[in-house]
Amino acid sequence: MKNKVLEYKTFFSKTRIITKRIFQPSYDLLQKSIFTTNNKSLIYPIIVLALIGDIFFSTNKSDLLFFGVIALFILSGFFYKISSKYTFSLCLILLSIMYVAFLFSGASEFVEKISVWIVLFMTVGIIQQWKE
Amino acid sequence: MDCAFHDSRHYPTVERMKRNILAISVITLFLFLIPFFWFKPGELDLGGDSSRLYFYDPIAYLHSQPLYGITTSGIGGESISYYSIPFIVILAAVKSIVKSPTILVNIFQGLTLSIAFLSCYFIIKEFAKELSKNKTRYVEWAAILSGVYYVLSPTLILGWDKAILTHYQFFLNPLMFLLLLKFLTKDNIKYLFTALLISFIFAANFSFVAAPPFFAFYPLAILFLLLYVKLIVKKPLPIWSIGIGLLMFLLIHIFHLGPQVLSLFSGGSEINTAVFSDEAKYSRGLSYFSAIAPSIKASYSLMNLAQMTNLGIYSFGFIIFPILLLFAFKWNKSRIYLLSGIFFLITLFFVTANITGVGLRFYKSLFDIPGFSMFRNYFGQWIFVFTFFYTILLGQALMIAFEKLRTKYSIVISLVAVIVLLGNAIPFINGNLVNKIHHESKNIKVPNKIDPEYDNVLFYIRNIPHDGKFISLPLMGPGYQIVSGENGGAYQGPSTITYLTGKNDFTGYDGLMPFNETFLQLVKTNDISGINRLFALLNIKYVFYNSDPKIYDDTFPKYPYDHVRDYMPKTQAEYKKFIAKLPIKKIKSFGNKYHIYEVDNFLPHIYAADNIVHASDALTPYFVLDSKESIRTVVFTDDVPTEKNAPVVIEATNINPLNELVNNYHLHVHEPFISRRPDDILYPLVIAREKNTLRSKERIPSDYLDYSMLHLSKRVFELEKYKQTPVIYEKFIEPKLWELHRWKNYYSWKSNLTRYESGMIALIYWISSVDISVSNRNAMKIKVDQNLSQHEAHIGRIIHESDHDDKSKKYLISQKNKIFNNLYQSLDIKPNDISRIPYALTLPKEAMGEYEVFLKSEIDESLEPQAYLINLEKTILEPQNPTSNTSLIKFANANIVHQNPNIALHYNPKNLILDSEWVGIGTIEEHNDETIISVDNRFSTGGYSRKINDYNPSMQYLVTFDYYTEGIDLIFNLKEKQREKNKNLTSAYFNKNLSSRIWTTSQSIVTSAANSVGGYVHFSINSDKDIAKLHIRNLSVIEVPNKKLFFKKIVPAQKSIPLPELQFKKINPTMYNIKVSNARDPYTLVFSESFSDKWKLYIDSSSIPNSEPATVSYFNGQIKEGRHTNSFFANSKIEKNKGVSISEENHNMGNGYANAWTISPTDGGKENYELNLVFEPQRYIYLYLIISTLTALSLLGYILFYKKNNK
Repeated sequence: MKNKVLEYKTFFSKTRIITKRIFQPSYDLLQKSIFTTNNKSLIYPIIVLALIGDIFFSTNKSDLLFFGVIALFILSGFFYKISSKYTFSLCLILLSIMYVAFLFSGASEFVEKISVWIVLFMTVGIIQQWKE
Repeated sequence: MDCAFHDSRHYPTVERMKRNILAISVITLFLFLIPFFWFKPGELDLGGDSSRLYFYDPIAYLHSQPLYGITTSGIGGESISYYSIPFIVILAAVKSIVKSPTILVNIFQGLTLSIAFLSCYFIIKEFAKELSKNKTRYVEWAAILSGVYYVLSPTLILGWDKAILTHYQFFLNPLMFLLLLKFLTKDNIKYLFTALLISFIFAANFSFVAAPPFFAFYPLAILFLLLYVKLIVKKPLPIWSIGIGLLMFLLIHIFHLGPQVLSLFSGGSEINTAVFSDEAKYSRGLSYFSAIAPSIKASYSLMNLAQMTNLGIYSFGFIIFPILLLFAFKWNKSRIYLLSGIFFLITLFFVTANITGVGLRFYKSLFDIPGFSMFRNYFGQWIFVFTFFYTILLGQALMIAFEKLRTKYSIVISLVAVIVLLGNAIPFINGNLVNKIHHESKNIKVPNKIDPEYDNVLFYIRNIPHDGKFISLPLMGPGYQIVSGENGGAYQGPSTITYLTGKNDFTGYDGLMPFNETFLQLVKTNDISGINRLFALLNIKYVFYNSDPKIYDDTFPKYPYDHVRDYMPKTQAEYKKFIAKLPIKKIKSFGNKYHIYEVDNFLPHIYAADNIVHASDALTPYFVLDSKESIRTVVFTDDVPTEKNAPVVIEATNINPLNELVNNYHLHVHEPFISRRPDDILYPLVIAREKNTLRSKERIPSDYLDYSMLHLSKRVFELEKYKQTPVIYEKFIEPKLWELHRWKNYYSWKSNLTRYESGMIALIYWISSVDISVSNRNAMKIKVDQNLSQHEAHIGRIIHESDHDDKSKKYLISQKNKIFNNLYQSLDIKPNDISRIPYALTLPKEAMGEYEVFLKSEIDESLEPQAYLINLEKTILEPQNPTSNTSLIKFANANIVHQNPNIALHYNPKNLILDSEWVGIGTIEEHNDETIISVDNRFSTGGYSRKINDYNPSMQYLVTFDYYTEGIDLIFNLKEKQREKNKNLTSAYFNKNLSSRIWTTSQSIVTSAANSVGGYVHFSINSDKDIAKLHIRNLSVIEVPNKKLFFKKIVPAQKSIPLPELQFKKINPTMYNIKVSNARDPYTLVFSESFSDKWKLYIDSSSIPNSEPATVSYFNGQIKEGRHTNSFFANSKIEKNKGVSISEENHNMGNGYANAWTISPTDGGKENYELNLVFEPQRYIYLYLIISTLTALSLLGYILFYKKNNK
C-alpha cells in the first residue's frame, strides 16, 4: 500500500516537473513581453475598459470578448499574484450595476450580460481562492 | 478575527440550547401546520397528470393500477408503476387511522415542509464544524435561516398544487444528503440504512419516472459528499459500507428497477423509445430545450427567483442573498465554502444554460447522450438541486457574515432576510398559490370536495360483474375527465374510472388512440352504426355520461374541450340528443347527473373471429367501404401470408409528386441569422463551417437541401443587412483559406451573387444526381423554384432600396436577371399536370385476381363520378353509376394480373375561379382570354383579387397563369381567410414578385390551412409609374386530388367456419383463463387489448374444462364470461401448469391494435382444453417484491435491534 502511495506521489511530481518544463519557456516569454511590471498599470485598465465597453456600449453578445477578457484576467492574476478578494469585489460591483438595471428594466439583455460576467468572474474567483 | 464577541457567546449555555430547541420546534410545527390552512374541510387538490387519486382511495387505486404491469386506460398497454406500491401501502395505513383524505394530504404536505427545514438546518450545523471552530449562537441562526430559506425560496414554493409523486424530492434531497453526510462522517451504517428505507417508501423518486430529478441531484450530491470527506474532513472513505449500501439499494429497489431495466432494453418499449430514439433525442429533447432556453434568465438564477413569473415587490429584496454570498467569499477562504461554491456554479449552469454561447452549445451537445433528453425542461428539473446548493452556500455565508459583522448588523441582515422570505411566501402560506382556478374555466376551483353521489357511481362500476370497457362522455381533448364537486370545485385529471375501479375507460380524444380521428368523424357525420361498430372494435360495453352542465357548456368554454368540441355536441342539451340517438340503453342513473348505459351490439374482450380480412389498415373494411363485414371479423394489417381466396382490401398509394409537399414545406423561406460581415476576419471560418455542415448532411437528402437553402439565403440576407456592400465589376474568385490577403474580397455584391449562383447550380446538380425517388426529386425542384422566386424578388428589392448610384443599380439588375435566368433554365422545372394522378399498388402473388375498385373522397364530400376514370394496365375503368353523386364511387371490376400494376386516376379538373369576378380598384379590360389590369398608383395600389370557389381546408391547390408585365413588377399573392378563436383572419401564403417582357408561365402550389374558410388570388403592381399595366391569361386554380383508391378482392362466398365455444374469466388484468370447447378446426382468437409480444398464450390440454356457471353469454352462447376476480397472486401459480406456449409466429396484431393468435389443433390442444393468457413480465414481480420487502425488513431490523458495535 505504502509503495503504491509512493508510486503515485512520484508520478504526480514527475508530471508536475514535465509540465513545468514544457510551459516554462512560454511562461518566461509572457512574463517578459506582456505581463511586465510596467504593463500592470496598462492591462487592468484594458480589462476594465473592455468590460465597460461591452456592458454599456455594445449590444452584441460575443464569446470571444467574454473569454478573451476572462483569459486576460486569469493570466494577469497569475502573473501579478492578484488576490481573489479583488475578483469578488469586481463581482460585487457588477452585481450592484446589475441590480440597479434590474430595478428599472427587469431581466433585459443588458442585465443578462452583466449576470454572465458575474458568473464568469465568480468562477475565476473561486479557482483563484482554491489555489490561494 | 475582527468581531466583538463576548466569551460567553462561544459556548452555548444549557438555557440557550433550550431556547434554540424551542425555536426550532416552533418553526417546524409552524411549517407542518401551514398546509392544514390551505383547504376547507373535505377539499382536496386532486387531478393533474398523476391524478393524486391515491390520496382519495389508496386501496382502490392500488388494485387498479400499480400492482399490475399494464394500464387499464383505453386499449391498455404496458405501464410500469410498481414503484408506488410501498408509498400507497403507507398511505392506506395512515388513512385507516385518520380517515379523511384531506387530512392525509395535509399530513404529507406538512411533513414535506418540516422535514426539509430540519434537514437543511442539520446540514448547515454539520458544515459549521469545518467552517467555524467557535460554537457561537450564530451557527444556530444561520442554520435556521438557511432552513427557512430552502422551504420558502421563491422557486420552491411553486408547484405545490396537484403535486406529483416526484415532488417529494423537496424534502428527500436534503434528507438523503443529511443521512449520507452523517453516514460518511460518523461512519455509521445505520444512517445509510435509514436512507435506503426511506428511498424504499418513496421509491417513485428513485424510479424511471423520476430519472430527471434523480440524475440531477444524486450524482452531484454524492460527488460533493465524497470530496467533502476526502478533501476537507480528510477521513478515509468507508468503501465496504458504500459497497454494501449500493447492493442494498439495488435489492430494495429491484421490484421496480428490475421490470424497468428489462423494458429499457426491449426494443420498441415505451422506455426504450424514450431513452434511445432519435425522436426523443431531438424532437422531444433538443427542440423543447431550444424553445424554453431563451426565457431562462441568469439574473433570476443569481437571485434564485422563479423564472417566467411576474415579480412581486419582495422579489427585489432577494439581491441580499447573492451579495452575502460574494462578501462571504471575500471574508473567508475555507475549503468547505469553496467546494459549496463550485457546486453552486455547476448547478447554476445547469439550471440556466444561458451562460455564454459556448456554454449553451455545450449544453445542447449533451443531448447526444442517450437519455439526456429527460432534461429538456431543464429549469424545472434542476431547480430543486440548484436551490439546495444555494441554501448550503447561503447557510455558510450567513455564518461567515454573522461572525464577521457586529451583532446589530447581523440582526439587520437576519430581519431583512426573514421579511423578504416571509413577504414573498405569503401567497404560499395563506394557500393562494395552491387554491387555483382551473385553466380557461369560469372560476372553477381546483380544490374539490368529491360529490358523494359520484362515490356511489364508482362503487357501482367497481362491482359490475362483467368484462367490458367504458367510454366517458362528454369527450375531452387530453385523456382527462372532469367531475364537479360539492364546493364549486372540480376534479380534472386522468379517468377516475380507470384509477379507482380497475375498468378500462376511454377518456378524451387522446385516450381513443389510434381511432380518435375516426371517432370524431363518425360523430360529425352522424354515422351511428359506425360509432356502434367502433365501440365493438374497441370492446366498449358501457357509456358513462356526466350530464352536469358545470363540467361543459359555458363553464369550460375552451380547454380541455377545444379541439373535440368542433366535432362533438357543443352543449349538454345537444349531448343528451346525441346520446338518445346512440344504440345504447340506460342501465343506471345516479341523481340527475351521472348515467351509465350499455351498448347494444357488444363484442367481448376475447372472441373467436368468424371472418378474416387482410387490409392495408384496420378501419378501411368497416368504415370506408362499409362492406357489412361481420362484427366478429378480425382485420390483419401486418404482413400476414394470404391464402388464394382470402378476402383482401387494399389501398393504393398516391404517388403524385406534389404529395411530397406536406404542410407547405416548399413555401418555407429561411431567414438566417447573420453574425459577421463578409470582410470580418473570421468570415472565412463561417464559410468553412458551412461547407463542413453540408458535408455532414450529405446522407440525409432533406437536411442537405434545407441547409443548402439556408446558406444560399444567407448570401441574400447579407446583402440586405450590409447595405453598403460595394459594387465591384471585376470577376470574383473565391479566396482559399490560406490566402489571408484576399479574404476581404468576400465583401462585394459580385462575391455574393457569384457564390449564390455557383451554390445554387451545385444544388441543382446534386438534386438531379442524388439517389431519391422521382416524386422526391420533383418536390425538391419545386422547393428550389419557390426559393429562387423569393430570392429574386428579395434581391430586386434590395437593389431598388440601396443607396448605390443608378449605373451601379442598372448593372446589379442586369447581373441578377442573368443569374436567375440561368438558374431557372438549369432547374428546368416543368409545369405540373394533375389531370393524371399515378397510384402504386403492391400485391402478394396469392392475392392477384378480380377486384372491386372504389374511389373515396378525402374529406367526405360528394364526388361527381363522370369527372373520374381509372386506367389500370391500359384498361379503362368507368364509374358504375355515373349520374349519382356520392363520396364513394364504385368503378367497374378489375382483373389484376401483376403484383405491381400501373394505375392512374384520370381527372377532369375544374377551374375554381371560373365563376368569380375580379374585385379591386382600377380598370380591368378583358380581351379574348387575356386580362389587362391597370392601376393608377396616384390613387391606389390595392390591386385586384378573385375569389376561389369551393376552397376547402387541408387541400392542395395548383395556381397557374401566364403573365406579361411590360417590365414592371407584378406582385402575386395567394391569401386565405382562416377561422381562429371565432374570428376570420386573413393570411397570405406568399408574395411572388414577377416581372417579364414576354409571356411567361407561373405555377404555384399551396395547401390550405386546416382552419381555412375561404381563399382568393390577388394581383398588385409594384411600380413608380403613375399608371401601370399587367397582362394575365389562362388563370386557373385547380384542386389537386388526393382521393383514396381501394381494391377489394372478389372471393367466392366463404363457408361458415365452425367456431369453438369459449368461456373466459379475468383473473386479474394481466391474466385470463379461457375454456375452449369443440375446437375441431383452426381458428383465430382475438384479445381486444393493446398488442404486445409480452402477452403469451398457453394451451393446457391436460385439463378438461369443467363447466362453471357463466355470468353472461353472447352470440347464442358461443362466448361466455365466467366469474371474474382480481387476484394479485394468481400469476405466481401459473408457472407449474401453464401448458404449451402458442408460437409467436402465430401471434399478430389484429384490428389495428389488438392481439390475435391463429390456433390449430396441431398446437397441442384437443377439442376441449384451457388457454391461459398471461402478461409475461407480471410473473417476475412476485420474486422482485419478495426480495425488496425482505431487504427492507432486514434493514429495519438492523436499525431497530442491532446495537452492538453500532457500526
